[in-house]
Amino acid sequence: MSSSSPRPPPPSNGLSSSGSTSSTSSTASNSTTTTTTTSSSSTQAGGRPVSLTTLLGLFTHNNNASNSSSAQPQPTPPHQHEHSTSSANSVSSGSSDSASNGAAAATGHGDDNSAQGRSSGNAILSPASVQAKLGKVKRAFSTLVKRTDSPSTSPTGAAAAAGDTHTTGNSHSPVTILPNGTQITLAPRPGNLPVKDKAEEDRQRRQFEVILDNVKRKEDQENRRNEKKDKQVGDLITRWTTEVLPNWKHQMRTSRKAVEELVWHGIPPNVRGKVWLLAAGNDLHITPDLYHIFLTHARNKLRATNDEEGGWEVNEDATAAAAAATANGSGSAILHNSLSREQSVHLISLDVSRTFPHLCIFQKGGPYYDSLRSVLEAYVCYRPDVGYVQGMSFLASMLLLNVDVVDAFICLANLLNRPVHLGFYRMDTNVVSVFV
Amino acid sequence: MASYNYSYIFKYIIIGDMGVGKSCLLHQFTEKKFLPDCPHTIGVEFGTRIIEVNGQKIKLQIWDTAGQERFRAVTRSYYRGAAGALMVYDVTRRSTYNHLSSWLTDARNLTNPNTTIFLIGNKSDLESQRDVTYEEAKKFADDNGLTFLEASAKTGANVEESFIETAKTIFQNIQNGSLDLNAAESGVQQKTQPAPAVDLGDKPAANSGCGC
Repeated sequence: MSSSSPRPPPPSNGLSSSGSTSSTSSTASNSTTTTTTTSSSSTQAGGRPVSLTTLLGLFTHNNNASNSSSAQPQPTPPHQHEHSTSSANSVSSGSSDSASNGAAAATGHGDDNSAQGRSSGNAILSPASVQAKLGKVKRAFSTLVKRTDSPSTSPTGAAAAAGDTHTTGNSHSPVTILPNGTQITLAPRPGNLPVKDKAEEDRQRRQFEVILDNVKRKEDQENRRNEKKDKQVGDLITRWTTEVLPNWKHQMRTSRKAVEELVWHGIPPNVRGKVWLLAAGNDLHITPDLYHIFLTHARNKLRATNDEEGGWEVNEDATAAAAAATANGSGSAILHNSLSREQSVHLISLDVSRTFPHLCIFQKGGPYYDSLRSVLEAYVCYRPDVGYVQGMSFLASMLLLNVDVVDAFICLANLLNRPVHLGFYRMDTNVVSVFV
Repeated sequence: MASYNYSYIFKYIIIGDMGVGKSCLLHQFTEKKFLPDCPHTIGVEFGTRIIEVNGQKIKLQIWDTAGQERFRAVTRSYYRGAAGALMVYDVTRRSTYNHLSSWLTDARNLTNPNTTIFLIGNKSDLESQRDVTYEEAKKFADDNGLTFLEASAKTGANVEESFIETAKTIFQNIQNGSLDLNAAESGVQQKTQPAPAVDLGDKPAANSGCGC
């Protein structure tokens, strides 16, 4: 957890000791800040706090893009006007110290910030010399906008910025990451440069606030849109689960149109598998046992031909010969054909890893490689007259993404049993000519 | 873009057994990238690229066919009117080489006599898994009057060359008059816009294009 990740101890002012709650004065100040903010955050406890959503949302959104940067401790304490939000963050994550509530990344991030928030709070109460230095630094804010499009560069960039703030002492510079990956930091001017004048500092702070406001507004809009969408999906799910699925047959008889209408809205992912299975039906009465029998049959076949060297090359030729024979309209070829089409079981392994390659789950070693292969192999043995046809793997893989292996087989077999599919997959010229 | 100006369109088809890397070769040629797990082709796919041969911009219109036996009925209809046919086998799988004669028969029967057929032994980078020697394939190519190269869609070796050599041969055939542009299925279209330096010898009717 990032809460336990080593936070680089802020230098020079002994914050590591005062950071722990042993120093009385600092705890006192801490508790005051927390109490002021708990009131705002306690009302939002439970669900995602509304005012926090923006910030949390930002962090969670960015979690994937710049995971490495968020995992890296950000020794950039929050800026004053951001302080309330950040310490609210610290309250939510501080209550469960291991930061293991819902948005782990968000709280992790918040935790880093909060830790810094606390330490900066401490810093204010540290010895006068430090305080003086801090005051000087605090007057020298500058807005720093950084692109973090490439995650590889962002951590180093962040680290560099962090290093900067370190050398100048403990200053407030919240890192806000916009949804588009841009990182905004209100960072102080490095100590080796002349101090910024007040007007410029104020202007830049205002600019920073405007940017943040805009981001928040956009985020709110996005949230509202998402909520609306969620609600629509929720309604759809309720309709599917309460009205349609429990009495599918009745629904299809009486209000087929309504169901079709519902389908056009998109079947929500969590009921999709069930709907597909019901829609495809099981007119063929295929049982799980049948699937396993055909799968075993296919495996035996593969093993047998693998044992005799080059066995399936001959068979492939047989397929070609049979295809040529059917093309010539020779009736006697049909039996031969159906036997040799079973040999297409050998072709499956060539295509499995080439199915939706960008998903990276059907490749050899991937989670769905074996199941896709099994479904296709079982199908070839179940319908040796059809065999494997390139393109089937896409159909089967789509099914596998929504239902389990046996159901995928049942669904595939029933789908392909429709006259049109059967005609095209068997290249039955009579059927094809009707449609072409 | 200037590259959209071209004087000819050559139609190519790529044929060969499934999994030999037809689509990968096409992708490497058009995108200059290797797709490790190229999705298998269903029916046909299509790619174009403009190349330059003898100072002439030529647009290659490449039809990439499905390799599975079952699709032959479908893919046979794409042979018509191809100026070039790239016949591909996989140097690591002898069965794909053994089927070349059947592919060649199709190519000869279904295209016009002047179609340039180019043999490509793909996956030449997998030297350790080689199943078909260069000499053997070279002999097959010579016996059947084909141009032959071993290529690798993965490394890109000889990919460019295969497509461009084919175009050069077609272009030569146009120039020496053996490929009649007026023939219905020459597989070559000439753009009607005047191309400044068309040197087509003394063929007067060369710019009317084919009728399709």
